[in-house]
Amino acid sequence: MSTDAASVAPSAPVERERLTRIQIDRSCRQTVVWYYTSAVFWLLVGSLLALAASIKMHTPGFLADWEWLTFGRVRPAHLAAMIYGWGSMAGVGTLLWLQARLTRNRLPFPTLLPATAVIWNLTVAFGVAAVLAGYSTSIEWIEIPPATAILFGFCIAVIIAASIRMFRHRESEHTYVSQWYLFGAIFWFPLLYVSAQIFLHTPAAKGAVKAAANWWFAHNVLGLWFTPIGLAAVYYLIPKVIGRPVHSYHLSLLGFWTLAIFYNWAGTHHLIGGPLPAWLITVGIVGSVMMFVPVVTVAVNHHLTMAGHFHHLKYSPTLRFIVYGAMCYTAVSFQGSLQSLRKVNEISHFTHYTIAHAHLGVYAFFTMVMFGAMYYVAPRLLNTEWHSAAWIRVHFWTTAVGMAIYWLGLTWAGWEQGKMMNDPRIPFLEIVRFTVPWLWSRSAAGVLMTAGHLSFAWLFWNMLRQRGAYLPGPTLLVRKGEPEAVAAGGAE
Amino acid sequence: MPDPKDTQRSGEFRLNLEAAERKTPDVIPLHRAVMREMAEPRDGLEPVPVWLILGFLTLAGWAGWYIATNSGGFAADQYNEKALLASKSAEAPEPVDPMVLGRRVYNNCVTCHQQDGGGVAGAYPPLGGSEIVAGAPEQLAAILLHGLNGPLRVKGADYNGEMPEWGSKLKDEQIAAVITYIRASFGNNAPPVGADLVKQVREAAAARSRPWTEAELRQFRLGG
Repeated sequence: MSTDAASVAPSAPVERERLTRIQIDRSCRQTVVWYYTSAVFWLLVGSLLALAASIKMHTPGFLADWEWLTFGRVRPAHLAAMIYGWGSMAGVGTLLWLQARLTRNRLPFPTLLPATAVIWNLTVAFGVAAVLAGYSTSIEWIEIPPATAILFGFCIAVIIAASIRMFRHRESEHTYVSQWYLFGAIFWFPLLYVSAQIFLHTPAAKGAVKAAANWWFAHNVLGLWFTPIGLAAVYYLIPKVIGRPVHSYHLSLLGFWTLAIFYNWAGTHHLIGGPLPAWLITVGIVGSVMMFVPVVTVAVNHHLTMAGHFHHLKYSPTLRFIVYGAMCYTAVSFQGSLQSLRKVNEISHFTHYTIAHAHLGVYAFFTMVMFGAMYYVAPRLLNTEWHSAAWIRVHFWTTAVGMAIYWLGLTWAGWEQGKMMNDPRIPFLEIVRFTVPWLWSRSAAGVLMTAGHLSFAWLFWNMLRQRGAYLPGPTLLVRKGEPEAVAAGGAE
Repeated sequence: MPDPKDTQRSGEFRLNLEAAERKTPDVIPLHRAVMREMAEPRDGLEPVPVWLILGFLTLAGWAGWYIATNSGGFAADQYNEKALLASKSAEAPEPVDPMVLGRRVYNNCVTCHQQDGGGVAGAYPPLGGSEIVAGAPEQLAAILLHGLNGPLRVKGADYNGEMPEWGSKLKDEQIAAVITYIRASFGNNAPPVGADLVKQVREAAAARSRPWTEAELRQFRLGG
């Protein structure tokens, strides 16, 4: 199965396949490296803003003397930097590379696409600065000023055009499952984004309808933009690294279409107890619970693809991050389905429990998958190996353990907080005091995760400088005295 | 091999493998990561497990049940998901206790007749022990429907005030309820009055446009 990796004289078709890849990766180089580098930059900015916001939760006086760094501005600025800067830019880079690889075409628009990366960066910078300066729209997940929509819209239009162009000239008649998800993402996101701009910034929707539009948008940014890109990367990279087919085409098909059908309905579970017609919220709950279908399907499909190959996790950095992310996708989706039930939501809503859940989705699933994808893609674009396995280890363990502490602390504290808030005999300040130690644990977790991001930035910086160019093989997580590992992870 | 027509259609955008092959000796050492990687992923064709399909069908059944029973009849103004379905509530309206409704309607009366039904000496006659209240129900209904002006003698005392009309503001059911309420409260013990009687009075005196006087009222009889 891993004969491709052998260095014996390859057959003509294999040789041809390699030459194809070389050309594709060369065409992607400028655009994708621009997107990835910017993403890493925004990851650091977002981490610092996150740390500031987290510390303010238990030490309110921290950085409170300058209005630009008050909690009400730092927190949405953190979200904007992470969602539109880190997440979207890492996602677009991965999306373009995957489209080129899967359609077996060079990436078109060699000037325009890198230009969109520049425009995207300026737009995020403007958005984050505007939020910090106090010009937030104060609508959750879309706090950045409406003017940014035109610039993001332009970039997305170019990305869609590039994707369609590559797909029209694809070499293979078969459309691989990752491509469905990628097309889902690039058609759903503009629809969401434009509709949200219209409903939230014009009188098209008023009053409670605005809240419904807001949560429809905010929930679907995760579900119909980040999730499909993340799953496309998982579906591509697991088979790629372990060298065997995805378990079942039929499961892939079922998982994709049920996601497409159910996710869109789920957003109104954020408004349980709110002034919306009961049926609208009930439909949101049913949409959320029915998400069990795509999630279980995808989990079974991934697990059976991985079955018997879990030993690769020990050596392959890509696989380690990807599988951690894929497992957290299952976990966060199960949690989300249960959390949408009225009985559970009555306790968990308006507590730190929700914050832990959101980070399990955007961080433990999507961000970890993007790290995994970057570990795979960057060496191919830059002809350089990652310069240090030790730094990759630091990156993995700080982020993985940091995320675990973050989730455990806030989930438990949030649940207790919710039960206390539902008891009118307990004074509010007592509840606030109860959560303080767990807010400290969040800050500690944040420090760990930020340390991980700094290690990754250091690795990426050395990747850009091509410091690992002299290395003869892939940078695997191998300890001294484990020579067999090199063969086991040869496909990294 | 790519079809020459294809290559023409997409121009320079398409992969140029021939050119790449010429460059091969230089390219190979530069692309180690690309060289060693596995082939592009393929799809296996394993069937979907039966237990998964059964589980999903069960879930879909639950979804249908939950939507049907927790949607407040799909009404746009219904915020309680457990509310009865809209069609059911139209079929069987809840019966209203006339004493409860009457006490509520009586809130309109307390300014003059007082909470205890005692009235105000010289201006507003009492309801407790009143001959008119305990007397012919059609006369009481007539007062409520059209009002009563001028001098009036109740329990041996003289009053001179203005009772406003309520016929244009209250429904027959509400007028019947408040009559029933005052006939059974403040020490009174007269039988209840139904909405059909109020309806008959409303029809019998439909032509009337001004309040009654005591003399006119004493002559008023249904069917007479």
